[in-house]
Amino acid sequence: CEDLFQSLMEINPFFTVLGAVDPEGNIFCASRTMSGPVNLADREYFQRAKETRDFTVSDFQVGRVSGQPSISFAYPVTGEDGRIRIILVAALDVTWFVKHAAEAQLPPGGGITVIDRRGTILGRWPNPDPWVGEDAREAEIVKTVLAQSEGVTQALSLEGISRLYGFTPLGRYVNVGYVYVGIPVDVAFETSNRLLARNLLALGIATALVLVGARVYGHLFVIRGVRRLLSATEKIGRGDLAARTGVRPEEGEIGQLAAAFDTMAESLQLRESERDNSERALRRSMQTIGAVLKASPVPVCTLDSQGLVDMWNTAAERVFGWKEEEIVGRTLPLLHDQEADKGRQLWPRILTGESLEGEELNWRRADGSRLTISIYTAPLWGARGEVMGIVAILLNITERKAAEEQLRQNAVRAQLLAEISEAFARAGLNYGPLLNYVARRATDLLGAFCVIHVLSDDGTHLTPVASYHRDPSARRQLRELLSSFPLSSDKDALSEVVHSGRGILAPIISKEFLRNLAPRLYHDFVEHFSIRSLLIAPLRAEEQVIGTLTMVRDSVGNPFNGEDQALLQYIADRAAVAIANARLFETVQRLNAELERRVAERTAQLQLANKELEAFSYSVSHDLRAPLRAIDGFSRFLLERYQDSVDGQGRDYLSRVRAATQRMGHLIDDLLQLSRLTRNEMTIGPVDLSAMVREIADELSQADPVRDVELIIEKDLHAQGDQRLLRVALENLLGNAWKFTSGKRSARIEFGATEQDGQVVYWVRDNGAGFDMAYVEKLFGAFQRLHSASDFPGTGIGLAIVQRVIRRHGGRVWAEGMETQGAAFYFTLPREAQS
Amino acid sequence: MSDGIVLLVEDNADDEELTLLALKENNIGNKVVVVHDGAEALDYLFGRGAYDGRDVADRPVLVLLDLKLPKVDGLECLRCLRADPRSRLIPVIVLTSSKEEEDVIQSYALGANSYVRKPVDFGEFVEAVRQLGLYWLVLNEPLPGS
Repeated sequence: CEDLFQSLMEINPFFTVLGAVDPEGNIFCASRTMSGPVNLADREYFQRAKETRDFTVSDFQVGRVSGQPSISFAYPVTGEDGRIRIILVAALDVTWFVKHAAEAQLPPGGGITVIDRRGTILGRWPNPDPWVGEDAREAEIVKTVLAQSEGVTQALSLEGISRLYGFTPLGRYVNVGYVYVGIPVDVAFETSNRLLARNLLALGIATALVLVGARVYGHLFVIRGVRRLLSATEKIGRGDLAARTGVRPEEGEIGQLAAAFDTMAESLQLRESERDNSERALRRSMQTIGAVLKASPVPVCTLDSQGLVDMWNTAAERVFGWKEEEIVGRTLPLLHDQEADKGRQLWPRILTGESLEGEELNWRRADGSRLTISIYTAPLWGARGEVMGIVAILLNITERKAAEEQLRQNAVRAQLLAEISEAFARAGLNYGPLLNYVARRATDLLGAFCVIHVLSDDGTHLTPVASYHRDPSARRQLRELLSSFPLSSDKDALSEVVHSGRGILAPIISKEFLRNLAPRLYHDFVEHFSIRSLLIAPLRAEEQVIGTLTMVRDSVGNPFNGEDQALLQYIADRAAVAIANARLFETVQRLNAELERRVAERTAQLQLANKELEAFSYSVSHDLRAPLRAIDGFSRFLLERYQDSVDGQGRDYLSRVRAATQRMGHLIDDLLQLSRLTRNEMTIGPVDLSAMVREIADELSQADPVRDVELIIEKDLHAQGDQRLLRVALENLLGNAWKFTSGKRSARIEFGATEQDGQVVYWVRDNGAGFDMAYVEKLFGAFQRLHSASDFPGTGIGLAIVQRVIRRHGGRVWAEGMETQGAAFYFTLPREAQS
Repeated sequence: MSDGIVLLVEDNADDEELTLLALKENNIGNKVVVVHDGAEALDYLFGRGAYDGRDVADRPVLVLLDLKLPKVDGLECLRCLRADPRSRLIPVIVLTSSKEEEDVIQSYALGANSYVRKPVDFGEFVEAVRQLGLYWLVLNEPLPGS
């Protein structure tokens, strides 16, 4: 088969080697004789061909059989059982391509070199020897190419000649190597070659395209050829020695490719001016893009793969305050190490091609102030598919963040304020706990610690009544220190607030300042509690300052502002109302206690008086009656046993004595009843007044059956009251009516009720002797009589009893009358007493 | 009817005289012992003080007890009397001018057998004493041994 391969080689001059390999990688037949057995089993492209059973292409490499820089191809041939029988391999000569490119393009002294990504020379024209296969990493031009990948540069060639080079990677996505094109500097600067010099890079790119094309489209000219080869070998295998490949130079794809390559080379030259135009267009569009980026109102920068700034636009200059020349080549001005750490964490992600979308970072402006930036990035891809850098859009969201923070704080504050208001309302009237609550909540909201002073009643002293420190361990100390101050000075800040009614805002306070300001007594305090920022708000209740609310922050760089002051005042105002209420309540409670004490005192006095009265009544009932009985008893004995010794006149006198004693007895009984009326407990219940009046009237009639009295009693009059007492009252009223109508021929007594001003008024009316309204005031007094005892007997206590009964029911009693025309007595029994 | 002592506890001389007159008026012939305060009454009953040596077994058949008395008042006297087995069962009639509800209740609570208010009218008084004597000294079966 060597002959077959050799004939193929002849018509395809760009092949360095053609051969057949068994599945183990041993070349058993090749277009050229090998010095020894060659095995390809370790070649990556061979392994891949075996694995995938498909056509594979290698990277640029130095061929194992040819010893020349080449691209190798492998084509597995499978038997009917699907197993790989042989693998055909071919190597494409890189130098051949390079030579053709160079011959087509370059002026005298120009040359093209292909290197792999490690800097090994793969192909070169002219003068491939002795360089091909050599490691040229240390050569200046190679170094430059490896470092920069693509561009134009002036450098020393491998031979040490200064040349102008254009260089570009082979392949945009997979890094397989580089092409560089060089012409001597003096040639380049000849007028006729200036254009060429400018287009060195383009030339390099064209070469690279050809090479890559050869690699990528290798199967076009390999597989077809190989297939014919295959069928030819198969035929030969079967004994058809006449078989030929049929690949002729004039119709070979490879020949066509070579021709196309020439054409392309020509067209490259032909379209030089067009390329120039497009380059200009490219430059223009690059300029446009550059200008757009520069002019962008949004800060934009680009960073290289080390994270150093490449480009920094005007907006970035304006926002950050760093000039482009100050920042280019430096890292980004992140705020703290902490932020820089965050940036460092992001960097590996960026380098893998990830885009950032709105990552927030804190930055430092040139003047040291801080900014919050939302960063958007896109990777800048390098020729080898690596990230060469990033373009970053830096949105300044400091204000938005601040607004958001403000909003959040406002929401938190609003909620806390609502809580405080509600809590104050609920805190109730317990003075001490309320003050402590105020101190605690105000501190939660605003500062490190808080003290509430309340003005003494005489307005001369401010007493610390409550305090709260955020730090639990400092609370006690704060309290103790405060309690050791007799706060009285009228020159200090608190007094000023009390007198002016206006709060104090001292955003930044130094220790020295405080030491100078505070009276000596406070020095301890100032030493113990760092006071960096101070707010004092007056506690105002009903136009009066009743105390102060002092709030302190103890850390530097966190000064109170006007808003904090407003907030503290808000709390103070609500607290003041709550405090004033609590105080008021305390006063009311004190007064109540006082009142209760007095009531208890009076009650005790009353009880004592009642006892005395009882004792008195007892004496009256007992002691006043005993002599009466004696007078009566002995008078009677005189009358009965000694009637012979007493004459008629004497007997008359003795009768009078007895009558008087009996009247006295009645008087005493009535008096006792009167006093009992005020002392006894009432039992309130429903009372049928109509029935009661009827009973009393019946009793009166029975006791005095001679009398003919017309009784008109309204039916079904009910009331709530004490049955026994109301009966006493009605007995007296009806008894009076009965008594005072005794002189009338047609006596009439009425009982009824009328409604008057929504109140039921009961009345007892008679047509008896009546009375003179001039004396109506005396009617209800005890022992007051408007008639002589000889006309109408009585003790003068009856109406006093009636009045007392009605009053005990909370009602009112009054009378109307006219002499000889009768009298009417009215009374009410209010509903309160009825329930 | 005439046997058995009636102990009258009365500090008021007038009332004492009137009571004795009323008893006589009604022909009640029992021996009446008059003492003038609660302490003396108890002395009599328990054979102490001025009555030292008196035969305590000779118990009154009836005690007429006023409430308002010097030294030991009527209610206190009643309490002591009822607390002692020697006098516990003797019928006691509270005979007083008081019409105070409290006195009535207290008297019964301490074991009074009856409560009678002295009327001012002597006629009524005599009638009351008559009925008392009739009931307690005649009609009522006395405690054995008295």
